[in-house]
Amino acid sequence: MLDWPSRELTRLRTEVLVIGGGVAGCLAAIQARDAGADVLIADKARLLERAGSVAGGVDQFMTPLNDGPDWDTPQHLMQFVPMLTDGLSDLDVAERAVHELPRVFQRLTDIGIDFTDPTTGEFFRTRAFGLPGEYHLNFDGSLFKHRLGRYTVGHGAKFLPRTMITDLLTDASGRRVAGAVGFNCRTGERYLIRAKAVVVCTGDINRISRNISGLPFDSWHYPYNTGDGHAMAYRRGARLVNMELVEATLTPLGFSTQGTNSYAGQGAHFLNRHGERFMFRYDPKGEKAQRTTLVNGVIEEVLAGNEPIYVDIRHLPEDTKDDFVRTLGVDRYTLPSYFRQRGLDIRHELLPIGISEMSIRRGGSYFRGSGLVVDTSAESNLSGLFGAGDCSMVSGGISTAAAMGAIAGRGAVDRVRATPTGPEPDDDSLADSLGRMAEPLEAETGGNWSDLENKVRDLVTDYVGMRRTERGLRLAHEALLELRDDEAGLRATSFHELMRTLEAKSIRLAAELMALAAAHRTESRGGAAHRRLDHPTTDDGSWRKAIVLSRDPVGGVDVDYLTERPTPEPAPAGGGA
Amino acid sequence: MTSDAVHNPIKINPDTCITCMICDYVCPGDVIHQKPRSQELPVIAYPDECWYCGLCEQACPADAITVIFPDEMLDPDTPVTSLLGRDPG
Repeated sequence: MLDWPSRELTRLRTEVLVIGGGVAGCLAAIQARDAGADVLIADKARLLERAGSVAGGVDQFMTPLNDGPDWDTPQHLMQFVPMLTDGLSDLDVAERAVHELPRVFQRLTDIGIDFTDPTTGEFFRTRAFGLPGEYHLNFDGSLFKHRLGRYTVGHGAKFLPRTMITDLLTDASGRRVAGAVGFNCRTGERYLIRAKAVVVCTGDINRISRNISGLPFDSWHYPYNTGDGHAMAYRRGARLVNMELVEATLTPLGFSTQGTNSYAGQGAHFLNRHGERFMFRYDPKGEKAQRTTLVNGVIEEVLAGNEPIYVDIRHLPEDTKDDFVRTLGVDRYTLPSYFRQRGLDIRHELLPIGISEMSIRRGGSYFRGSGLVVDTSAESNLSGLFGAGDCSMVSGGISTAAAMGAIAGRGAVDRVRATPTGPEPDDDSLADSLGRMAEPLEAETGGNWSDLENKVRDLVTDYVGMRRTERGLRLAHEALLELRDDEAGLRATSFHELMRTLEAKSIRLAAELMALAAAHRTESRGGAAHRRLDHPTTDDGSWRKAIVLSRDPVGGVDVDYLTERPTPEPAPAGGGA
Repeated sequence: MTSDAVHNPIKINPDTCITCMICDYVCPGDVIHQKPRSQELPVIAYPDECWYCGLCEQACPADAITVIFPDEMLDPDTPVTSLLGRDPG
């Protein structure tokens, strides 16, 4: 058995603990530092500059800029938000995020992030995902996260590298978060961190279904985001919403990467094997429809026997093609090299595409999310526990992650100020957390984390994925519950493997909750986000509400609902008092 | 398309690598391990866990790293339909 390097825990104390150093985590830290709070960020990465899902680059930021056109205001965008959230968000929280967008954009600009198009020096704005204006700024974000991370550390946030936070600590009431425990995935040093407020920014949930290459870490989204934040919050009683919503994307056949934004925004055509531009069959906006509609369109074509499906940019003007190819490399650095190694020239040849693996992440639409239910201060139902980014209820790319991160940072500071003496971590919650952390190291023999993950992926892909039925979901849910018994027998022989083992457990829990919520929702909603073959239509009368799951005191799951505030009828055109 | 040999996703040129630690530091998956203050080449400790993001290649100051895609990604033979669920019977 592998021993911890020390019997003692390293004890740390901070006012605000941020778990996850991506975009949301950095903005939370920056805001809390603005107010003078002590901030500690823990992340599995070694450098904050290279932590999080966009550490390798990003190419778009979505915001109104208040720059003249009618559509260019938060108010205008907000009118459209209920059509995106589709009844599954909290519009009060979404509205705060929308109004925060231009402010956080300004802050990012002030810290030296350049959002202009490098070829023109101007903002290059495009309309995408069915939004009512050119809110998407295309920019060269190769170094976006690098600059943001560097600024955050320079602004006084402390960083705890290579640290997997495994559990939250509560006080004796069980309703107030008091800190967290974690370990270093190289050295095994264990941390007990006392905090007056904790912000969970751990991203979405990946490695949960199979993909074309069969390689679990070849994923569109960041494969090291595995729902650990969702799981630790859930175990302490936090409410999780929209766990049934899946998100997949269109991806080069064989390499699960980002890029749909660029395809759709820059005029690419989607063709089937007959050369038909089929997307208009599924949405009058054609290739400019919401991502989830695009994915659904491709699924329908595949099922209709019209595979292979291609992206075609051959008709675009040369300079647009240049820009297209350049942007692909910004979003995923290795994509141009992938095309070279494959011998594919997409300027002159059709690019075969397929469907990526799934993530649990807001079901492809902005301003809703799959994760912690939070209020307008980004605080969860547990006092002192905040959530922002893709692990929380209002998410949407780096822009909404930044906006909600900033809101969470301010909320955390308010909570700190309201708590002059910090909450005392309860011994029971500490013992439980340390036991869970040590279990895989203490197993003398046992299975490997990847075996558990493979079983989860098979169940999810076959029965909880793109085409759901009551029977399949129940079957998968039962099997996923049985797999919980396998967890106790998993064995880790290194601290790295301990990290992967605990991640695999988070993935299994997420899959269990996904199957449960998906079985509960007896309708279809949001294109590919939740598609029931046995309930193929959308039932607004019964189901225009989000499903909220929480752990009941005896370990079962409580099911509850969130209903969006009513949307005012749009004012009649041309009329008015 | 599977092979028994584990594919190495990160090729390091032994002639140009300066064993500087940067690839170890930037890898988001803890995949690349380099002993501090050592002349030994970095080890690809967990090749199956590579995201193919290329942060290592991008950050390498000696231009000594090339990300190499495996056959499963360059020449995939999985039908998309196999990802779209199955009848529970």
